[in-house]
Amino acid sequence: MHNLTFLCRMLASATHEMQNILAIIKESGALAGDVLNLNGPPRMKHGDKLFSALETLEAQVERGRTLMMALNTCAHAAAAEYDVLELSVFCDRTAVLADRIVRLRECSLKLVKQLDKGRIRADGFDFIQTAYRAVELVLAGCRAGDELTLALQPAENGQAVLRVASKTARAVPQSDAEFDAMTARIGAQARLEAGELRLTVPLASGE
Amino acid sequence: MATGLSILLIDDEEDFIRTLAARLELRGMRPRTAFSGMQGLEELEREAPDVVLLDMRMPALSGIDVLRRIRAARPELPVMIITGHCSEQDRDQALELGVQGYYSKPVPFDELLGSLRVLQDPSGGGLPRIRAVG
Repeated sequence: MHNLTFLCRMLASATHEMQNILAIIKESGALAGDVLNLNGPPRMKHGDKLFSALETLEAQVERGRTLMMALNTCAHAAAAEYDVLELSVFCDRTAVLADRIVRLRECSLKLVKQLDKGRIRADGFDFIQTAYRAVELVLAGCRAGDELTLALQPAENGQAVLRVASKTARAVPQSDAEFDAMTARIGAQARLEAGELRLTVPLASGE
Repeated sequence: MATGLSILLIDDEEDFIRTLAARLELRGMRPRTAFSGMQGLEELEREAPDVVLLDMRMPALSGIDVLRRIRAARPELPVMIITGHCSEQDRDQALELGVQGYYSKPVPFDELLGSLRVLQDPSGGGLPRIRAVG
């Protein structure tokens, strides 16, 4: 745990620094675009390629920014800075972090949030690990081209449901002792069905 | 001579605020830069801007420290936060101190411009148009 704490402190610091670096890259690219646009569309040879490159630069900075934000939340969560979590924010972060493993399986992941506000009392790092692992378990039964949905939904009796579902897979995800321990730590009830996994969590009272 | 909004940018990331200032200047605004909280307060004392753009995490004097001093001396001065660190705690603290905007880096430039435009002309009228200055 000592090593993990140190790693997370470094990660929190580095991701903060990366946001500054990305901001400088973005503004520098945008300033170049501003100057090129000063006198209307540039007439220089291959000017379109330059603008295309600036657009790519901006898109990639945004991609990096989203990833850095997710990692930053993860690092602060691992340093036990959260005990009450805004589910919507932590689902955003989980979806960003899980996107790569989904794409490596040639699948896609869509985040659907039907609950804007809703907090739970749990350790943030435990929550991200559990939600990430839920995506992995469902993904294990998917084939290339499948579409996964990570949905945050309201439920009865002051609860919320985090649902990971495949569009086409019909195999029941296989849980394990590690995942069972994770769900217990965040106070969730797991339900595994054909091609999907549901985590039901109690919302913090008054939220 | 530019007659637009006078903006004081305070951030220890020199390349960032120099570039941001250049973009604002191209839109007819009058940016000044300060590379530390203390330097920012000195600039503020020397000539009051219309608005301050302030980073949160800076060595020595943090953004929150600077914001508290600004609020004590000039409670009406609009301040917008631009930060690479976006913790809920920092944001709540800044909002409690009455900031007019809170942006994470990299900054959504059009949103920032829209907020500055509202400060310049509360009746509205769109984003400041890009134009050459100097």
